[in-house]
Amino acid sequence: MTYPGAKSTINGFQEIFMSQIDLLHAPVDRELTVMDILAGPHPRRRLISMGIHPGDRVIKYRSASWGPVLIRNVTQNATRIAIGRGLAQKIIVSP
Amino acid sequence: MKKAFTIALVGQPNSGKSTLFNVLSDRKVMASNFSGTSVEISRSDMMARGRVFHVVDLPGIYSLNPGDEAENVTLRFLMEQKVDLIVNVVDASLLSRSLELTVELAELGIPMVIALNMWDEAGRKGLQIYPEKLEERLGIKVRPTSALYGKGVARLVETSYRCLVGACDPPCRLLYTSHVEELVRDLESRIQPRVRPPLRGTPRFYAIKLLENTDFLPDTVTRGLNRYAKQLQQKIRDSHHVEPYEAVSYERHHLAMKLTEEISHFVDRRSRSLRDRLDRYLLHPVAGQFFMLLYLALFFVVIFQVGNLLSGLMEPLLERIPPLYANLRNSAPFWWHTVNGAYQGFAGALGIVLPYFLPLSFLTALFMDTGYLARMAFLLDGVMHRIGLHGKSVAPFIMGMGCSVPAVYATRIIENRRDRTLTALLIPFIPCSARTAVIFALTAAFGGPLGAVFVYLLVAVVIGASGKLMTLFMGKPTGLVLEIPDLRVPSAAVSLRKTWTMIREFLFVAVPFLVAGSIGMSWLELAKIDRVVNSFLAPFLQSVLGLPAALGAVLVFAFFRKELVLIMATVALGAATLSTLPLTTEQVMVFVVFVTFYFPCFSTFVVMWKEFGARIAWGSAALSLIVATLAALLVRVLW
Repeated sequence: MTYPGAKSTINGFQEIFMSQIDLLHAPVDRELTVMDILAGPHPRRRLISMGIHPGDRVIKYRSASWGPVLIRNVTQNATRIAIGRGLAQKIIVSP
Repeated sequence: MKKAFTIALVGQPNSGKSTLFNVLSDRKVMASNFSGTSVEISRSDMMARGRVFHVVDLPGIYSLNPGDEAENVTLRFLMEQKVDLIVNVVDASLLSRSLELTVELAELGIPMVIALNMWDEAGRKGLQIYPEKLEERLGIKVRPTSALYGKGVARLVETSYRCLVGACDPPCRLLYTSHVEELVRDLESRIQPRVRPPLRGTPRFYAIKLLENTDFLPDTVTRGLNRYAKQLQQKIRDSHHVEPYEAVSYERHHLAMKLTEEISHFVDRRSRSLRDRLDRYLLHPVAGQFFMLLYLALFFVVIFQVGNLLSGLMEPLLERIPPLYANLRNSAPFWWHTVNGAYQGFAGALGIVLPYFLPLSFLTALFMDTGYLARMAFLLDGVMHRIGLHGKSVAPFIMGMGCSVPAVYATRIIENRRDRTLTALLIPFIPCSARTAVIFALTAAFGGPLGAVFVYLLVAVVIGASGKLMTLFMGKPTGLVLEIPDLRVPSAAVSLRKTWTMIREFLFVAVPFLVAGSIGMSWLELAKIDRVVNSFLAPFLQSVLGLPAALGAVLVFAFFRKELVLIMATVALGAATLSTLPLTTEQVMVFVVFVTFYFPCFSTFVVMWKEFGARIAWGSAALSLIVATLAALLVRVLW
């Protein structure tokens, strides 16, 4: 069973055209798929234990020039989670 | 006496464990709408069907791989203590994510009952859940509850009682997908002989945890197996291309989602509820900040006015007592000093400290119940980064406005050791309720609210500056990951009950201490020992701070309880009330600023020592003294 979001398993044309962007610059109020979390072990483990796994679909609520990013895990219908800007840049999502 | 059973309340943060604990036991613990409120273990005994139950409220955990200190506390408890039954408190409105923890707890193999809490909240969200289906799939009892209103709790207790008395079987095995399952079973067969009674948890639990290479496993289980486990982990990396703990976590994520789909479905997909729209404004980069500043200003103005009003009412009542024992002065000086000391302590506590403490604790309780604390942490994250911290430190800071002791404990929700230490070092600078009373009382007597605003601005500047300074030595802060719970309308009844708990603690703990302290002070005065202390501190006080020497003993005594400052000042300087203190406005401001920063109270010092060790405790003390002197000097120069 392969996990969506694991880097090297994604191959073929479909992947090349899927535009990937980090969470910080991703559009607001649209469902995004979490492709990968390029953070170190601790923050990655933290995010995963809070229910954000590669392959989940999230909605980003707010984008501003400063302050944390606010997302909600739609797949799990969970509460909103605020993520610091630095970490948000390390979460790769695709529309 | 039949054996007493131990029931542990385990669940994700903000799922209602503490609220349920308050319903079950008479002892009240702090419960608020913020994920990470309970940071320590609370125990209480409960009597049901003639049997005694030890009910234990544990800090919330997202998964059994501990992230921060609070989760460590829960994990160590579950692994080391003898727990007869786990009540897994599940937030029914966040079913899918909560079930991930349920699946992990099921692996432990300890008998378990599920409390589907916030049942009403799930209904409001249009989620229709079938508990009996969950019971089938997991093989354990599931009881819908709504702890805030106490609904369903009796049936939960009934079920747990029956489960404990009759032999209720542990949760059934939930199988992972084939790949991972083979490896787990292989490892489990090797661990099987090593898991003997003193060790809690099933061999399968240890096998899975070994695969996730968590570091808390006892070495009796892992001796000689590490190398083999490494090979299995490598197999997972090759087949799944992700870290083993992530692969296993994804399995649980998958299982939880399947479970959720089987046992629940959405009745009506409601459009954006009012709360979402409200949040749009509360968290708006500009409007949110404006609202927060407005809210804080309102918060302090209300406390200031209500405090003034109440102390104004209490003053005349307390004024009538001194003449009663005035004749003792010449006939029995010792008794006069004792009674006068007792009166001063009593009058100070009820006349000056309580009026400000009452509105402060009620408003804080109300505020914590709405869930606005997490939003404040969100809004202040940007500012906090500039001083080397992140949003999560806002929670301990806000709690620090009540009392520094729970604030130091609250730092446990911060994952990173460095952030935690830096936050703890800054907590003593935040004026606790006692110092708030001192600031308001003295500034009210000498120049009105402007003085108080100035002191609070100075507090903000000092925290910012020392935070920035310390970041130079302690490196960059880590990223923020904080759950923002749904807004909730605060119930006045719950806040009133919480306020009463805080007031009762103040009346029965602080007031006696204040009375004893001020009696001690007047004895010192009788025996002229305070002169010795004053002369010892005089050079520092007079030359550096420009304050009369008589305040030396006051500062030493105030180390134990900051409220003593007000009482002592009047006693030491021989003034009847605060406004007649023989001090100029400048001296008062210097004194107030110095008292605000100069030293954490004794209990904070002890808690700091316990939580962070001697070096940090003494460091914090020295830092406070230096900062207090500098701030006081700054005020002296400016004024």
